[in-house]
Amino acid sequence: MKGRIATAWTQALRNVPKSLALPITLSASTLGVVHISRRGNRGFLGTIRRPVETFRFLYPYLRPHWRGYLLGLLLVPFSVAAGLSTPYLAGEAIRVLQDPHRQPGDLERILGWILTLSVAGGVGLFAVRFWIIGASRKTEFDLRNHLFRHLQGLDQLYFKSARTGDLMARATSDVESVRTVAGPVILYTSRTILLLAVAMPLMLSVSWKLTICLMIPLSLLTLAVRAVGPRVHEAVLKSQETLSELSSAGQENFAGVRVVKSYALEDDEIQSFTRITKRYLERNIALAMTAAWMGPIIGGVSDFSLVSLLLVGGTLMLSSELDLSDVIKFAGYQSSLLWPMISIGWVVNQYHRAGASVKRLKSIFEIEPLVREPAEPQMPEGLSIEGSISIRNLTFCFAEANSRRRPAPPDSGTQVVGGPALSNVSIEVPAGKTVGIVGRVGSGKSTLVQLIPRIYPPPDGAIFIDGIDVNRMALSTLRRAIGFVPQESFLFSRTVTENIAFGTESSEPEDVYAVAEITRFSKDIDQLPHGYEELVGERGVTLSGGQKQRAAISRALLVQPKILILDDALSSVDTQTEEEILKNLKRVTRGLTTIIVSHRISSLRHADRIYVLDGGKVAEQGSHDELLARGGTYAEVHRLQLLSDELASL
Amino acid sequence: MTTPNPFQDEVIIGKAFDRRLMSRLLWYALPYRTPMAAVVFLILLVTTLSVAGPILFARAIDGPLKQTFTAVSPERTAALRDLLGLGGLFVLVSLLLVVLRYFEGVMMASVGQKVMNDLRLEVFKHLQQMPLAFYDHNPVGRLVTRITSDIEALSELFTSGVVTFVADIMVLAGITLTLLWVNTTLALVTLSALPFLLGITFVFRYKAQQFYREQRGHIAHLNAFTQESIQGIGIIQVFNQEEKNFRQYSAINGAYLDAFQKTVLAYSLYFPAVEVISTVALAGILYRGGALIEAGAITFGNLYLFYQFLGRFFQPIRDMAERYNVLQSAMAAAERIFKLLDTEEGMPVRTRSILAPYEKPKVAFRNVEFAYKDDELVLKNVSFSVQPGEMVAIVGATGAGKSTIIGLLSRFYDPARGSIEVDGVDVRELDKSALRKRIGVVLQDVFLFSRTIRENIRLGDSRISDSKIEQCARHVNAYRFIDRLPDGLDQVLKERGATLSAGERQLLAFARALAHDPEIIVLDEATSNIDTETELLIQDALEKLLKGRTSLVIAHRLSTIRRADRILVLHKGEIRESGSHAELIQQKGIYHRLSQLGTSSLS
Repeated sequence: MKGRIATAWTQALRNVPKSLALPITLSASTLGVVHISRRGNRGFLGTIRRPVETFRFLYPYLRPHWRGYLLGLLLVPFSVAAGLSTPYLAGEAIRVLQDPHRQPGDLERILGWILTLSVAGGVGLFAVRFWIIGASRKTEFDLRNHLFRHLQGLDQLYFKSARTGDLMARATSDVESVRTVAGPVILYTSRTILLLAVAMPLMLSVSWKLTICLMIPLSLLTLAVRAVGPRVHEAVLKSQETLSELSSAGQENFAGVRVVKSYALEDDEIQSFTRITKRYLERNIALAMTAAWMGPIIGGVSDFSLVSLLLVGGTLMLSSELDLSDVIKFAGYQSSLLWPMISIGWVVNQYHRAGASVKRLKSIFEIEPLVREPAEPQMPEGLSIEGSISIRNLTFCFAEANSRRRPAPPDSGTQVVGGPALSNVSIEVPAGKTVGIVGRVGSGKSTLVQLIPRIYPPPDGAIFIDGIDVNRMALSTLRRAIGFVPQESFLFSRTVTENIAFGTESSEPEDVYAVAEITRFSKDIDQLPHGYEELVGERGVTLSGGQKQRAAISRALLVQPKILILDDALSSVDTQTEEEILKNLKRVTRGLTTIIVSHRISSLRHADRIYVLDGGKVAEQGSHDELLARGGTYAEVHRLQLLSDELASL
Repeated sequence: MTTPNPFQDEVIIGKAFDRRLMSRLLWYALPYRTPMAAVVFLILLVTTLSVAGPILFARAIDGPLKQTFTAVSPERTAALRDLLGLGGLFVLVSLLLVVLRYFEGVMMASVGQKVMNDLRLEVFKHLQQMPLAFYDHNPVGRLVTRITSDIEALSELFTSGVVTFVADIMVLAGITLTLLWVNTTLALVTLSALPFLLGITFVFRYKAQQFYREQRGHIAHLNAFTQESIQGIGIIQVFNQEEKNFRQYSAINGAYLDAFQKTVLAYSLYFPAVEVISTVALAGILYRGGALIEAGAITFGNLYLFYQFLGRFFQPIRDMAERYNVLQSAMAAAERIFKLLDTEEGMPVRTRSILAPYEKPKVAFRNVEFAYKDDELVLKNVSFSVQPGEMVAIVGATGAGKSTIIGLLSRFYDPARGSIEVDGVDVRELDKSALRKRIGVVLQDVFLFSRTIRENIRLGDSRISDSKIEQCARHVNAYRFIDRLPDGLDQVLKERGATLSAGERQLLAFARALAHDPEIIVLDEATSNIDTETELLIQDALEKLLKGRTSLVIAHRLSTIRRADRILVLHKGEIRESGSHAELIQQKGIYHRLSQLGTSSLS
């Protein structure tokens, strides 16, 4: 898409005369009609306010690179001088040639100056581009880093309500459009201002009439870019909108292929897809019809300014007010000024877009994480955690937790509304003991264990480790003590080893092998073509659910935690392997406080104590045998699971 | 520490020109040969006219502006008139150029878009004909890429690749010829800059493309890393890896910066270099021109012409350098698209569409064997039949092969051995759409389109009237919740009906099946937990739907199973028991145990 529009521009601009004195080339991509962002509010005030806002936001990022900007800006006069000296000197050369009394060497001297100044200007132009655009890239680097660091510090609750796609858009297109202001916009603005400041007196000293003749059409060019640019941008957005409709229509069709086939809908689907592609075609043609104005307008205005030079300049020549060399100089200035005048319109358009981007970026930077380091972290006695966990009357509600955030998230998804996920839950886990938690989907068991390492923000005075409120513990102390295996075993697109060793700064291969052995993962790894160095995830092999879970357990074990939390982490592993893993764990995790969340009774049988959660409350508790004896929910679920196991073995 | 960038291969390095692909592509442009020819004609016209302006300017310099006048004289008036004439002509040419260039741009884009539209539709149609197994092997995302990004990449080829490439060459040739015609010596001076320009452009293009590719690879890596970090943020935080992860991010960001700085360097060098070359050429022209003027071999007007044309001469060369990249990625996209179009449909198409009323069983499986993977049989020697009007329930634990039976009956797949008959005819002999119109399938996972409820029930069959849709929705108890929606039947379902409950989705699927009124209903009962009230509605609706029809139901609820005329117990791919509920209970076999598991656990 981007490329296509860019080429539409290139195409539009193709036949535009660009004379030799054109110092800075606005290529189609730098014209930047392609960035996706909402249109800023127009009007004079908006035009003034936006740059101020944008630069206030950019200032901290620009400041470290002031040397680059300063150097670049100091060299702008060089590039301007070169841009204007060539047409001026070319005119002088014509004057000399017209002079019947010229001295030998006159022309050569002028040509010598042209060459010298052109080289100097070339060097200047190079330096300006290199320093300013270079500095803007460094600015972008800092901005990206800053945004990433900020995002990484936000809590899970935020990510539950924010859409990854939106965040990605912030991180890509908004950063890019702000970067444009930090680079090309500064470059073109400074250059154009200086160019006009030098060119105007230069031209006025020759003829004010001719100056007006040249400047009026060229100013129209600025207005034309201002007028057409946003329209093109809008047409681009519309076309992209339809493209994404088209893409989701395709996606839906491919995903729903079973319905399509069982109802023999192929022809209808083709028809409805054809309707969308037709609309897309229409919008693209509409876009072409808007974008196609740009080139002819630039070409036309350029021609008209030449015509007016010819007519007015010619008339003045006929009355001997001017001579040929003056007119030729002006023709040269015309091509020197053409692109800078276009760039004014472009720059203003760009400010508008960047303004909208800055607004969105700011709204992300303003979000404060709900999970923060305590002001004065308390350290456990002996500086190391024993591992006893105490949960006291814990009540937790997503909506309530989220409402503690300032500013409130703009788009709280449906997931975070509703009543308390946990109410009045109390659980004691003595150090070194194993506790099991069961309950059906939505009973709050997963939320509960995610509160312990503060993946979600627990209320104060509810969760204690070694008697210290987790909210008062340094995050790194707390989390380093916990090995957490989440429900959805997320692996990164890295090698098996890197995934297992994810939580450690450095680890010996033997350690990795050892944990993989415990989790019965090593056999599977040996089957992989590159073994431990196999790349997993999107760009590598796809592991089965059970393999992923075993990788995730290995990862948690390798950090040598004091507390191990398995959040339904064996659900995709078959019963026999589960049994082996649990047995292994039992052996190596002696002294390790363990919480096992499961919907499968078999994984919990050996726990010291089992809690049954229902609707966010503790419904039953006791040892396996006690709970069976009670004959409650636990006993019933146990009976059914035994039956299914029996069936499976038939 | 940085992991090696796995995205460096993102930008496929392919040929910029492949004759085989190109001729196949041009074949798609054939229907538009008239507008294509018009575009080429327009390009020629525009090229010719665009040199007219400077020529007129030059003629004015050599004509009316040759002498100067100190007082008003008839000669001055005549000169003024001539000047006005030339200026007027220049205005006309400019106006004409504005119009012609506009049409040139619009037409070129339109033709390209139309060709791409045709190709996109062809790809989509082709995909519609592909069997289900094809979809099992091709992720949805990949197929979407074919009909979007790949086609977009190709459209550049038409809008800016081929045609403009030709145009650039024509402009170049046009200017060269004009210059040679005006003055050979000066033209040669101008042309002497060409090797330098070409050389520097060649080096620049090569380098810039290399840096660009590097840059694209790094940005793809950076974006993927960001996305993955957002998705895996919980793991990063809980394992205290924020710092390390940030360092990795920063390293990729740094690599991106470095690659970008190289590009910046390349561009910063290239443009000034071109400026210097062209200024040197200008100095050359003025130097030689001075001598020629002295010798009276050239006029000032023509000298001006060279001055003007010099710039235009350089532009097409720069453009052609950029064009190369477009061609390259378009060829790669074409390769992928054609590869997809060349994938043949797996199942043979038969055309027996009319089925005579038949006395034989409606549905029969005869010694059916099936495996998704080569050696893992999902169904082993399965044989059973369903008589007209009979309701047969299939029960069994997860993985017993129940859903496969539906897949085979709907001919999503063909069996490895044995045969499946509908009305006594092998399904492989039947026209697919006739088969599908005869059998109504309700799948466990109800798929809804992001369209209106009405469209979701009608599914494109225009013979189903609005009143019938409403009637069906009422009949299966779906109208109760539909009525509560703001737009009723015309409510657009967002995100494939994600807002509806499992029970509501199920009822919609029933309404859908009922509206299409098939003779045979094949139903895979949903297993999701549904509240008691909706459960009762579903039971009632199910009874209405199955009434008077032949049906094969993969049942999970005891109530449904009890209603069946016959129950088949499928266990590990084999039919192990068969009979009525009471008979099977008495057998004390698998069914007995399954029924003990209770309603919710029958899945």
